[in-house]
Amino acid sequence: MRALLALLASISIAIAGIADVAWAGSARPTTLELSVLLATHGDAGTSIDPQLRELPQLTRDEPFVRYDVYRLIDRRAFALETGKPVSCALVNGRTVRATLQGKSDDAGPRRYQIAVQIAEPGKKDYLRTLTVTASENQPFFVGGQAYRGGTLFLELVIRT
Amino acid sequence: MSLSRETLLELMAFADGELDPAARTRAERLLAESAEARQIVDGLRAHSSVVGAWLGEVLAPRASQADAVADAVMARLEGAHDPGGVVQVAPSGRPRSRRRAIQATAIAALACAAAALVYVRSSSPGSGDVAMPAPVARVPTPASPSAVPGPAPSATALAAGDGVPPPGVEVDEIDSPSRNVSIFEVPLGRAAAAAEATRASTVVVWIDDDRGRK
Repeated sequence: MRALLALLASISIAIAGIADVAWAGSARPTTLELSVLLATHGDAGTSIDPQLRELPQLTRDEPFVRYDVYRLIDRRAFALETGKPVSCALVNGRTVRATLQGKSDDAGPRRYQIAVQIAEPGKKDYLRTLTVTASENQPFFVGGQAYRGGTLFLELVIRT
Repeated sequence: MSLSRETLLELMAFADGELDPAARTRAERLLAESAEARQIVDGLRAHSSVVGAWLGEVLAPRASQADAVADAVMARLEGAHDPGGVVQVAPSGRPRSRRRAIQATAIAALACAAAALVYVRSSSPGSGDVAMPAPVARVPTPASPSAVPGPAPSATALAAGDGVPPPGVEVDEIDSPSRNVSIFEVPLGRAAAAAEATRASTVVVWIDDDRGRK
């Protein structure tokens, strides 16, 4: 009887341990990776920063095809919590603010809804609101801000 | 059944041989008087013989180790109360049923703690999912006078297919007052997509800048 009770207790503790490990695995922090790309026209042909792994394929399509030199000028990661905005100052004086609005609990790849604002104090909002739904590791871009004779592309990716 | 719950528990303990002498005498007297009590004890013994044989085969080595550890621990505890500091390794005078009750209580407490840990972890804030807003149409609706052209032709071609929406990026809302806004849907990693039979795409939201920032 004593051995049986000990066995039951061991099983309970083992189950708790397994659940604990599973919980820890599922509770990985959600982060937003923000990359700032400067796209310009070059005289020496196409040049793409090797840190921009996906870009060589993207530059065959609009609007990337408009430029031939791409350089990564900033990349940061921010821990995201639902409803808590994160902010980042851009090189052009504007500030980008992103807020995780929710995540799906459906089967399959988890989807995240994120809202983005780009503004400059005392000036008209450049982007009052952009709300996007994406899976993790799926980038999306905001382009068009003029900067140093070229254009800024902001690449935003949810990572977990 | 006419026997009380307490009597049944005592009969179960009797069948397991766990009663102290006084309780055993009481149970034996009941068995002599009550056919129902005899029937219950016979049934318990029949079951325990089957289970006991299995446990004996499977758990005997562990049980002996556990008993040894438990006896040593109890002996230590009792020795600590002994003014002479004599450690009793031999069976103590304390009834074994009492010791088992303590052990069972400790094990039950451990099991409860494990269950509570699982419950707390599963219901802690942040571990659950946040309700997702209702899906919004793929083509954005401008919330301002901004011009929002539809997706580029390549996007249309990409989206059209077997009806299964690709796991791409969806633009739910854009609000950029007084600026021209365009949305480009771009195949993401074309070569990789072909190889992996996926149809992922990305979105570029292009917003014209009214100032040439140098």
